[in-house]
Amino acid sequence: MTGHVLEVKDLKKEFTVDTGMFGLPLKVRALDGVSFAMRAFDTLGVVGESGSGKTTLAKIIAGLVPPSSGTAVFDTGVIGNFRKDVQIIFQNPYASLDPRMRVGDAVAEPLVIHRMVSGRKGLQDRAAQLLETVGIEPSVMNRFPAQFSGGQRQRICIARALACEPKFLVLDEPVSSLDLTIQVKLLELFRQLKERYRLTYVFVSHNLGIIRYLADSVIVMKDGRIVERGDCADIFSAPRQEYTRALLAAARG
Amino acid sequence: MENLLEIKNLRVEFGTEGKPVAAVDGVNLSLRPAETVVLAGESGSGKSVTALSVAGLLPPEAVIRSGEVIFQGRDLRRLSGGEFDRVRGREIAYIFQEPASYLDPVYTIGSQIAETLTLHQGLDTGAAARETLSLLALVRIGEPERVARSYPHQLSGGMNQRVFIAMALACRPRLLIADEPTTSLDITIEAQIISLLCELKEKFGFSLLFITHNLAIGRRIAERIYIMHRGTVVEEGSPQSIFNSPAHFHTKELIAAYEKIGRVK
Amino acid sequence: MRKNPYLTAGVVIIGLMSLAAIFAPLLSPYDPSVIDHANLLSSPSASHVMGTDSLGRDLLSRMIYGARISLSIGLIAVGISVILGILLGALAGFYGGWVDTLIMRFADIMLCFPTFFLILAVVALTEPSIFNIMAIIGLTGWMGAARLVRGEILSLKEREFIQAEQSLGASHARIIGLHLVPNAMGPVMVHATLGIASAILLESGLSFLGLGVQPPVPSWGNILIESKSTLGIAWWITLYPGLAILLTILGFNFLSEGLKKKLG
Repeated sequence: MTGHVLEVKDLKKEFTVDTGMFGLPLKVRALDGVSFAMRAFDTLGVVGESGSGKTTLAKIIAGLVPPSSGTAVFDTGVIGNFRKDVQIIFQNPYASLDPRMRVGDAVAEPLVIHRMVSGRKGLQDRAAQLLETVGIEPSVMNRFPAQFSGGQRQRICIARALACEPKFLVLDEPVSSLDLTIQVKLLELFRQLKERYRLTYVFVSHNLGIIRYLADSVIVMKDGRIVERGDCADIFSAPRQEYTRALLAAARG
Repeated sequence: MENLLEIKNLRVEFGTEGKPVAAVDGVNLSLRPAETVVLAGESGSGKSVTALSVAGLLPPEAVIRSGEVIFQGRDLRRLSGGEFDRVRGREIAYIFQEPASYLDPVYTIGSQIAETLTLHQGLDTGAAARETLSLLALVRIGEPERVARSYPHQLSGGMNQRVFIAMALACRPRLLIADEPTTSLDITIEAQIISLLCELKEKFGFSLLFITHNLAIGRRIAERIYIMHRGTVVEEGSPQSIFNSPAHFHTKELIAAYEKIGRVK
Repeated sequence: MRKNPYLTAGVVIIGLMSLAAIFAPLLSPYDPSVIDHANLLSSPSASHVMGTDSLGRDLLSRMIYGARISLSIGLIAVGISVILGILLGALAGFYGGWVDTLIMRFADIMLCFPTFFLILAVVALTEPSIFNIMAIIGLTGWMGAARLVRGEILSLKEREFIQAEQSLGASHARIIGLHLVPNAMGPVMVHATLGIASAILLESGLSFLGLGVQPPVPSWGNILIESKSTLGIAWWITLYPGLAILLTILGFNFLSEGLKKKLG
């Protein structure tokens, strides 16, 4: 490990898709050889359209999907306990929380799983603290997810992820399904949390505006491959590849 | 010039038991012929409900409590069911955010478009089939025959949206209401769809009421912008006046969000 | 009430029966096993509202105690099958692969047997007792619940909140027990309600054949044993148990429809 917190080498992922009764199963290449390295405390922006493989990449890094070949290796000096130090926030806040669990309990669950706090009072206090950190009134701890808006639910998911005291956060289009004004507020929150807790981010988005706002370095993905990479400022001011230029042109309207 | 559409003091409530909630509370909006108006606001601001009221597509739990919806001089609320059906589909067309959910999955695209044509224009099968292909070409679909034979789930989101636009244009409406049609599409496709809508508007001269939560679209295509917040219109004006001198705090919020992430410099 | 008439009807019927069953000693006018030679096969009257059987025992009292037996057998048998079904269905749904294949093929095999005859065979080999009946009905009825739970879990598995639990480091047991199963319970509840009805029917059938609840313990099924020989002369012995069984099945069916509607 050469000062990199994450090294991804030639990552490939194939899915087999059913094509009905008479069709032969199709092999879909979601990732076709992706390699990059990340420094600690960096925010890596992953840009791409649907089908580019960015979500698959996020899930592999977060350890939810095994790659078909290739590796994604964390620096064990920094990331000691994978399931605690690496967390993921999903795109759909409406499906990311167990609908039958009170939000206070959902936020406290990691504390129980990793035996970080014991006793009912301890758990409650810590959950209240975490909720406050993300801007949710602790008094609503006993409510169910259905009683919250999309933006609020996403904050609750963030509080839950923070309960693990993670070092590395994978953010898979965490604000795409929310209104623009709410998006801005959540992005501000992500910025603050990064400062306060010294986090490293992989931020996946198809919105170039967001990437520009948050990312330090950027990789542009298309059809399972990285087509361009570089510092955020460089990518936006002097894109080298045709595809990157097309994306920027579309975003500029 | 007479207004094509005039909404006066519209109030729409949800929930018949207990205390009804006003999703739209005293909205005034007007649209001239061949004008592009953007209706912007957050979720819950009432923008979709306002649009659905015009098209008569409100869900059963919603009730128009008061107000007028005047289209081409006639109050739509006073029309009978049959008369309204003729207006909707022929004079007023509506496109949605998720086109695939509004297309029947068990019928081919071609048959669904042809159905609209037979229903509203009384075309026979042959004429409907020909018109279907020309409509698909109009929305810049490269292989109209192949697409006409396909089913909705076989096409991408962007493609389905084009198909839906084709269906909407089948009867040459006077008013096209687009309710966040590009929110779930990739940026390059979004750009294409918006260009397409503008082109078609130039060509056919309909009025476009575009609903969105991103002011970027307002800046790009609107002649006038209405800002809605919590059920009322809080500000209205040309894109220049909205962006250069916003009055209401929510407008300022929307502009700030747009400045930060809604566009790329 | 108007919103979900089935649920209301079901709750009322089963509720009343359950109350009768629970409060049997208080409600029943006579001891159900007391033999009264003076009143053999007497028709319904003021002193014996449902008449008496061939041993002079009050039918109403036997019916009320019979409710106790039938309902508890139904409940416990279904309890056993639901617990077994949830366990096996959850494992099959969660792990997939050979675990799934093994469990589901086993379920398929069990479903091939006509349950009633399977139960008859087992009962013929073992001693008929209330406990055995509960166990056998329970052990042969888990397949439906297992399939339902497996189905629900297969679809829930893909939802983000389950993936979130994985990334938080939750153990499999935690994910299955705390998150998947509770969210899969809806269809199981509906199924279980119907299951109680069939269990009661099964028990009645077995008791009628003499292979279930043994006299003198009253069960609606074994009260009906006498109906074979007394049909022409003592219609009440056939009518009341038959009606009770009918009403119970109806009640549980209503309950299940009502639950289905409520749980959407």
